[in-house]
Amino acid sequence: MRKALTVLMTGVLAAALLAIAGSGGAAPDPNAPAAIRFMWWGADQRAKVTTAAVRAFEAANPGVAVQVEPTTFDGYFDKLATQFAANDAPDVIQLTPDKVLEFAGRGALLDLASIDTSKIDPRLVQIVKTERGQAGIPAGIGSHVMVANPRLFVEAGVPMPDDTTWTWADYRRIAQEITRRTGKEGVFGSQAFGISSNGLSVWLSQQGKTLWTKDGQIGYEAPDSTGYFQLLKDMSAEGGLPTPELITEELSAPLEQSGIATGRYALAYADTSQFSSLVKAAGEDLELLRFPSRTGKAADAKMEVRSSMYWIVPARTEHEAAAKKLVNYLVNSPEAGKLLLGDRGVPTNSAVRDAVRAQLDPASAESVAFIEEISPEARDFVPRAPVGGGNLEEILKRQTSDVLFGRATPAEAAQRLIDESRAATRR
Amino acid sequence: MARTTTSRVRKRDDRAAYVFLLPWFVGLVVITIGPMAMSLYLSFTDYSMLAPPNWVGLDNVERLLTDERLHNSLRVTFTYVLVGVPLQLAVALAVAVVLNRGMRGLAFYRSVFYLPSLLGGSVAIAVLWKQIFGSTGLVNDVLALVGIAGPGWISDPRTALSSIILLHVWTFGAPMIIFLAGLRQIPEMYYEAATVDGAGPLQRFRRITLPMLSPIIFFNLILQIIGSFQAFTQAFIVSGGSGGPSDSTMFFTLLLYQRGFGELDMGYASAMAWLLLLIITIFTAVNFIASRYWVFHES
Repeated sequence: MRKALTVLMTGVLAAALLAIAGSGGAAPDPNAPAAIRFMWWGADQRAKVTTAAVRAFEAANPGVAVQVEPTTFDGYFDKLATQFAANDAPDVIQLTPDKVLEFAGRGALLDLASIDTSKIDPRLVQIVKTERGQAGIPAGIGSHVMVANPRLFVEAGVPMPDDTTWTWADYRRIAQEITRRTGKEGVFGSQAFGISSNGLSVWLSQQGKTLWTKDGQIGYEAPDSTGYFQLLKDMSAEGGLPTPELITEELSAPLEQSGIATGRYALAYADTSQFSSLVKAAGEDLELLRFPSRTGKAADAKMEVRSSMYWIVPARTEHEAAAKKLVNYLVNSPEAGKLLLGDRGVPTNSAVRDAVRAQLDPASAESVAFIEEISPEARDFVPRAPVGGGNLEEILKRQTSDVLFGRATPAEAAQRLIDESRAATRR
Repeated sequence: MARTTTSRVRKRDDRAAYVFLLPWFVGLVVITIGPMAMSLYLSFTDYSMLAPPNWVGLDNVERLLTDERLHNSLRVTFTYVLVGVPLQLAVALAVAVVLNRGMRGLAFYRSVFYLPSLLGGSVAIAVLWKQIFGSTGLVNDVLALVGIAGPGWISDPRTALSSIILLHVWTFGAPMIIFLAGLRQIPEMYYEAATVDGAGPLQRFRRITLPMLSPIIFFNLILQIIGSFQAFTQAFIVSGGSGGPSDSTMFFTLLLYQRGFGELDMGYASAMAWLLLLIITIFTAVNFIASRYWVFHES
């Protein structure tokens, strides 16, 4: 019954013992044969293409052997934290942006400044630069977007919105109309928002605020997010969103079972890097949309273009040179790009992007085109989460659920969001 | 002369005993005492697992006192223990009494009722529970037949905890088996004598079964309380690791896990673990003291 936790805890504590016992470092020789480990999360498709890229890397770099460790997102960070504690972390790791700064802030990451990033949008690189150096290298460009199912729009007799002019009021009306007019059990106008901080980030940017400031403080005040929770509450009451119970149940459902992937929601939130998988799972045409804006102008939608994941190398790796070589290969080699394609988002290196464009599947090509379309109007890069800010996701989910179940008013939820975020980042 | 030989033999025997004990002893030190000492040390530190631990004295204790989510998790956990354990034991006892009547196919029924105990804490059952009590699950399908639109049992904060308590009650097989064994120990002549004196079934149960069984009830109670305080898997799976909706299934251990692994706050999580140990110790001690007044020892 409690075995799972006992095993985890014993692992950590044993690891902590070992770490304290400690070990010294060896003098590195950049060309010495090395066996490194490489870990990422993701679906089977990602495991397949990444392993292929790794094998190509080994062929190009005799003397470096790479052990691949693909795993699921579920439990990824538990595993990673335990491995870091035991000084047993893989040498190259895929990590989310908010965790990159969390890890870097605690001095756990190697400075990757020596890796060539000249063909990468400097803003993607800058954003994970700390006083301790370059914490990560961007692995793929994406954007948090809305995804629409045209079939449900047709069924409801509601015209597809023009995403360069639509407003939140339009969105609210459309969601409600679709639910009402389709009148089918389990079919809803829109997936709930407020379960991902990416959406909140867009909402705040539209008011000229940010989630975090450059110096790691909270960049907004309670009233700035009250409207967000109010809209959630109103749309839930009108039926534009799924029932609170359904929303809760889907929080932990895999992507393939989400409402948009199973043809039940007309609108949903996703990352462009997920688009190809979503289309595959849905088995029907889906469309990428900008967020609604307050003013009805595309530029005011304040879409964000960012790297959805980064490559990192632990500070305590014993194979610094080999690990950096692999990261460099994954990001800068057209050969790797042709194997990886759009799996982690649009390739960050512009030369690689041009080299692989012709090979992308239609959905991935659509994502690339969409990113390029919104890039000119996208907002400036906002500061990423400080140490402790990685908890925002969980904090926000709780407030959303409290509002949906009527346990908190929008104003209360907004205040708690601030209070809990502040408590989480204080340490 | 004779004495030295015996002592030498004894010494050799002792040594052999220690050698045989060694694997157990190594295990005890390495995977129980060592980590426990380590976690005691960590509970006085700020430890992110990414950097070495930092001594912070009693900071974590102070945080325990002011952490509202922790207090909520204690409420949830106490509700689970104080409602779930008595309910489960009552069901276990009731079924044991019925089975003890010596019906046909007893072995079969015993096995069937015991099965959930073997499975109850497993991930598979928790996943199944999630399906059965989901808003489009089996329970609501059945309710729909009679025209009732059931809530999302595990996704509505008003019913989520009850669903998990129900899962706990359902695993009544283990205490039931122990009750059955206890019931077999009660001499038949007591019941015969009582029947002759005109005692009805209810009176026989109250005056004979309950007192005679009280040591067994006590044993089950202690065991279940200790186990229930540490319940983790059900809540973890059913709520998808979130303790939601709205923290309504945020068990103490689940919060400990979130603080430790999610928020990389292992020092605080260690302090929480020691708080749980303290709570369980107090509960067990109180139970032992109280047992003097209600547990009947035949002698």
